Amino acid sequence: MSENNVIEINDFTKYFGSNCVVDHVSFSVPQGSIFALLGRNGSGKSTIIKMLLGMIKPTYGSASIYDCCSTNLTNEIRARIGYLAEGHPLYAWMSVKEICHFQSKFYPKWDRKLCAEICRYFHLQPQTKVGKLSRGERAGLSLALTLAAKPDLFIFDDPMLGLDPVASHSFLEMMVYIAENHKCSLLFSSHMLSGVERIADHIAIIDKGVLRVNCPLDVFHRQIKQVTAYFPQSLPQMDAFEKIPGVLRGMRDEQNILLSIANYNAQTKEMIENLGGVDIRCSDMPLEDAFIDYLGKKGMRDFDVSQLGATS
Amino acid sequence: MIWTIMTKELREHGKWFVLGAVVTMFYLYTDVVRGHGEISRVILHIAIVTGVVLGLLQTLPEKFLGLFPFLTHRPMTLTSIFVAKVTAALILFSITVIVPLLMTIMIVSDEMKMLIHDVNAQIVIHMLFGIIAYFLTIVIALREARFYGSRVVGILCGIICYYVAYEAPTKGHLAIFMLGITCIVISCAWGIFTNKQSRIIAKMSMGIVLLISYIVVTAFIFHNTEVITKQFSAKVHKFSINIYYRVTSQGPISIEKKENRIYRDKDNNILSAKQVDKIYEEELLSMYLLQMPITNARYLTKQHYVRLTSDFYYSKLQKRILAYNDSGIFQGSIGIDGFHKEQVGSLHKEDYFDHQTINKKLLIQTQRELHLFDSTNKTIKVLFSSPETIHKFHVAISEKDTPTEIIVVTEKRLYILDKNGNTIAQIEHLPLQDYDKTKILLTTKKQYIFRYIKTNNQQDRVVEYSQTGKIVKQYTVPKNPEYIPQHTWETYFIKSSILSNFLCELLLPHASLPDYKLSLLWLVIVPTLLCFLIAQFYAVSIHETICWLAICCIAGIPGLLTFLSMCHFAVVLCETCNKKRNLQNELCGKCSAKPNKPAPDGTEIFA
Repeated sequence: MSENNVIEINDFTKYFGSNCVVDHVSFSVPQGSIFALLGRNGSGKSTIIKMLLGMIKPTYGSASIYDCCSTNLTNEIRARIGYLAEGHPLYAWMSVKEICHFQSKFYPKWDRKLCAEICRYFHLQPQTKVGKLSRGERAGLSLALTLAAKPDLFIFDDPMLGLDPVASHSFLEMMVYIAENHKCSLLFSSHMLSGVERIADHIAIIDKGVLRVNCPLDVFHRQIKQVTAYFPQSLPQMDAFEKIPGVLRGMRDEQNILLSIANYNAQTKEMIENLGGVDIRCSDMPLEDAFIDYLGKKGMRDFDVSQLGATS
Repeated sequence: MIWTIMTKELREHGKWFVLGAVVTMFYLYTDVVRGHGEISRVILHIAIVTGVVLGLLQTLPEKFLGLFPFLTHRPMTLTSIFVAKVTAALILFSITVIVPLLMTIMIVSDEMKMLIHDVNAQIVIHMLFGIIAYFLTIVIALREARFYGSRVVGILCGIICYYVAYEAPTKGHLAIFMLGITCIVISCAWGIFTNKQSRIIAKMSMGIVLLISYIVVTAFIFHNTEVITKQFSAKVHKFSINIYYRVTSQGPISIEKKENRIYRDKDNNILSAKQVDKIYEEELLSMYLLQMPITNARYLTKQHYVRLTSDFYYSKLQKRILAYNDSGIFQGSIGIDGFHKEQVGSLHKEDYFDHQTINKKLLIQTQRELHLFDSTNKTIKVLFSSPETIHKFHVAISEKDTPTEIIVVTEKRLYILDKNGNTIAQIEHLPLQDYDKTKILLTTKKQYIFRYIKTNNQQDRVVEYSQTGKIVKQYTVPKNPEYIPQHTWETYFIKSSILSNFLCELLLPHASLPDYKLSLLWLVIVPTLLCFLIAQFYAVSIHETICWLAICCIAGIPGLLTFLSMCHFAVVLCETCNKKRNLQNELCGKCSAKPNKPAPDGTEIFA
């Protein structure tokens, strides 16, 4: 393991029955980085996190956290990891105060003051039963329980799932706070892209269990381009464009086509020219659009804008 | 930290089990204190229900509400969390089962206390049922879908526990079985809770539970199928020819049962009616001593009182005779120390009646003694005592209906006593435990003829003793049809392998089972062959295949069922050789190639 990496995952593979849900995924999380694990629903993000924490046994492959094998994490290593599970599961029969007290018994570095402050930030009353909290309040309480343990590494599994925009915003602010004020590492998974660019410095994208992207955020931004081309003669069938390496999405309007392409280069341009395209123009695209085009690459089909009565 | 989890569990579920304790108290009061039911049976029901409810409450809510990740990710091993949960469960179990029982003992009468004391071992074993039910519920609730066995193991194990509890020959067998199963079931539950099914102990324990379960369930089904089939069989063999052999003072005679009976002597001469009558007259005593072990079913339904007459009951617990008047009111008790008049209220009476009389006095048999009870004078005295357990006793009556001799049979000796209990003679016979049944015939000529019957032998051994204990004659006679076991093809499954056979000997010693040697061959080879073919079809690794083949060789059909329950059937095609690769093995069994990494689609962006 590199000295700078807190997490190293090597060839994680997981089958449920004969169905491969995670296929040879390898990546590492550098010390101090905010690492976003992105992908659509069912792409295998949560499975990777659960395998990483030893909750599920991988079919093949291994992982380590702070040089400790993920299947046998020691109590010391577990104390250094703050894990926030998907859906913010908490004991509904406990009150806010009780659950904070319960959690504090396990962590020697428990920061009672910090816990109280975060609870106050999310307007949580100590006597309120967890079962009566809203989803946003429960997310806040989960975050308080995770942060107050003062871990060195945070692992958040889809923390903003099911939160309304206001709650998401509050949660994101807390994550920004973690990123800016703590010298710690953060790995979080999400299928929601809003805010990722604000906090993440490194991203990995999982597409149907396969790792397709693993790079710093700016590299990803640079590599996704929007390309327009004019076809003076008839526009080729869309299948022809799908054969061009890196094409994520296409939209056509009579003799024009708008393509989102990953890893655009001279070879890609030559292939478009060979299809009869002229006046090929390449431009950067907003990061959020790049995410949407990338994550939707297998799920979205091209369509003819002109048939909808629209103009390009 | 264990304490914190324990406290959480107690706080979370405590209220339900305090409520359960109140219900238990009520149940115990209505069914036991009022004398409607047996306390051990009531405890069995309460323990099982409590165990199942505990197992469900401790697992299902956390599983379905997604709380397991929150619970398990903390600086604490999963084993510690498991220990904390189990400890809390045992406390809650005690609150619901043990505390109400102790409170009941405190409030019941002294007589009832003695009754409870008499069945304390049984109560403890029944409580163990509850503990097993708890762990089995955890196994069922948290079962993983990695192999089918984890789905059925809990149910199967529950069935065998209940079955063996009623069929185990002795309390010792039952206790060993229950403790063994408890250990294995704890191991299973721990393996599933900690999600380390690859751990050899957890996987092996699940395999053992499955194997034993399949053996016992197979035996149970086929054994009962045979019994039920016989019970409802409409076939009546009215005119079938059966030949029976009897032992007489003149040697063996044969009885051919056709429409009429034809009697023949040992030289095959047909006997006259007068000779036949004489043979019947000389048979003064014919005692059957069955060597079948007393099943636990009897142990579980043990009667505490034996009714001697309409007014006297023998209390096994107190080892005293309780006397009642005609209105059923207790008058007092008679023991070795004489009559004691005391008032204890009305006691539960049983209808079971077993005694013999001598000079209008009752002879009562205890384990190694014969007591003579004089109901007129209300006295009791020891008539005979033996260093060995008394199997049976009989009072021989003369033609004038007066007692002549008392014959007492123990494991190795036959004692002939006079009516005052003095030993007239004793005969050292063959050990009864070596035979399935023994028939003893006493003739007018003071002959004592023992016919030793062994189910698996074709001939019965006959030994004739004189009154001095000398062997006068020895010969063999063919076995009678009722002792020749007739087995249907189903019964062969019970002893279908070496292991099944061993366990059947242990668990079903009284069951009439076939000589399995011939069936063993195909009942072992066929499952082994099937195991091999299935293992090949699902690309099971060579080492694992060898292990399973060995298990099938030893365990036969249950071994095959265990293999099917535990085998991983998930296979994919190897990208290199296009042959099936079992997902349990990272390398292909045919070409040893590693699975390929997913093909790039040109959209990859790596720094």
